Amino acid sequence: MEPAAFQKILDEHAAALKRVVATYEADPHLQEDLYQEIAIAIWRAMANFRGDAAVKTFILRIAHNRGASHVAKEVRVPRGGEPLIPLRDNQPTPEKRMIEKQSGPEVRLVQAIQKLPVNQRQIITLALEGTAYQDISDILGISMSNVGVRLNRAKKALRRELGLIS
Amino acid sequence: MSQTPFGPESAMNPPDQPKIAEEWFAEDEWSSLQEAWQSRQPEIAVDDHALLGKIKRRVRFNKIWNNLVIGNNLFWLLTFAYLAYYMMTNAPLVLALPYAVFLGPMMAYVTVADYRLRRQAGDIDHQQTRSYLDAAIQHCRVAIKLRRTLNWVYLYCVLFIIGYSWFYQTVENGRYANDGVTWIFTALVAFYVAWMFVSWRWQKHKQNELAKYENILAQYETDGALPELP
Repeated sequence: MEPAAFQKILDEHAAALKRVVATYEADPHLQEDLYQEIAIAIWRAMANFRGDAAVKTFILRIAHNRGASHVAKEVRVPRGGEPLIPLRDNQPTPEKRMIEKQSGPEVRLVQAIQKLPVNQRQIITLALEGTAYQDISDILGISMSNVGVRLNRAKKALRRELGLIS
Repeated sequence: MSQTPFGPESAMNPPDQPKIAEEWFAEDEWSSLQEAWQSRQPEIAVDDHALLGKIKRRVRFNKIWNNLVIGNNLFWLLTFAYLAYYMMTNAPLVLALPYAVFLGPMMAYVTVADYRLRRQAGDIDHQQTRSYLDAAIQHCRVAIKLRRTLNWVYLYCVLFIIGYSWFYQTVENGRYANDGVTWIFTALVAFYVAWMFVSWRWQKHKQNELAKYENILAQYETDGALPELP
């Protein structure tokens, strides 16, 4: 693929890709790394793209796969088994809670999504992007009926994280 | 035709797709969430070329490390100033004189030189692949220059300690000489010689690293490609 054509595709979908990246990684420096990884993966995969699906579907599939691998890599437990005592307290600090309360709806939405398990994060962000069921099914490699069920669960979890239900 | 978050209803809910028992968001609620989500433009700096994360991480680490050392330098500059004051007012002349003439100015000079060199490596805009490579090269050059300077400083310290021990043990017909003092001088000389060796090894390591980065930069400038890092 010509570099200019690749750059054009990347530019067209940059916003969506960055949203995917921000879903999987909160650290700005690691976001850059993940974005680069996804860009490289798309560049390599474009050679095999035959136009069976829309370009957006194709690159979102790659982005989500990379994002999920990134999360898996980050949470991988070192050899020797799980630590008996958790090394980090994942509960938000009072300051963080206050910032969350005072921030705008977009930020609250992203923070709520980041708290979801990876599989729910994937499906909810694809739905929020306006991706069709068929495409979500293709991207995640699950059946259409499974998409409905998973999305429903993810929406419930999102509603809970947004504080709309207890 | 009614709209769902995923497009027209007929397209999104084909006949073979099971209906979902509960809807957790009203249609307008979901639309506003979609709108909020899609209007988001996360600020992620993008390089003009896919860059290996290793260089980036190294540059970031060097920058943080340099800033820590700069903070440390400022602390020691204040300490040297205080020591100078203390030596001039309280210490005996046999200690105050060498401090004022040799050790104090040398330490202050080294600290200021170290600070200025490290600052040079900090003023780089880390946005593009090229500037990351430049930063990595600049960090290496600064490290080499620092090591060269410090090797001379260590040598100076060794010569100074030997000279000073001779002066200390002969002044007033060896009045201050004893075994304890001799042991301290010997230990100090050994310490600085060991540091010279460690510093020299680190200088060689940085020289090799610099050569590798310069090769990478040359290749990047020629064909826009980044080779695998060693």
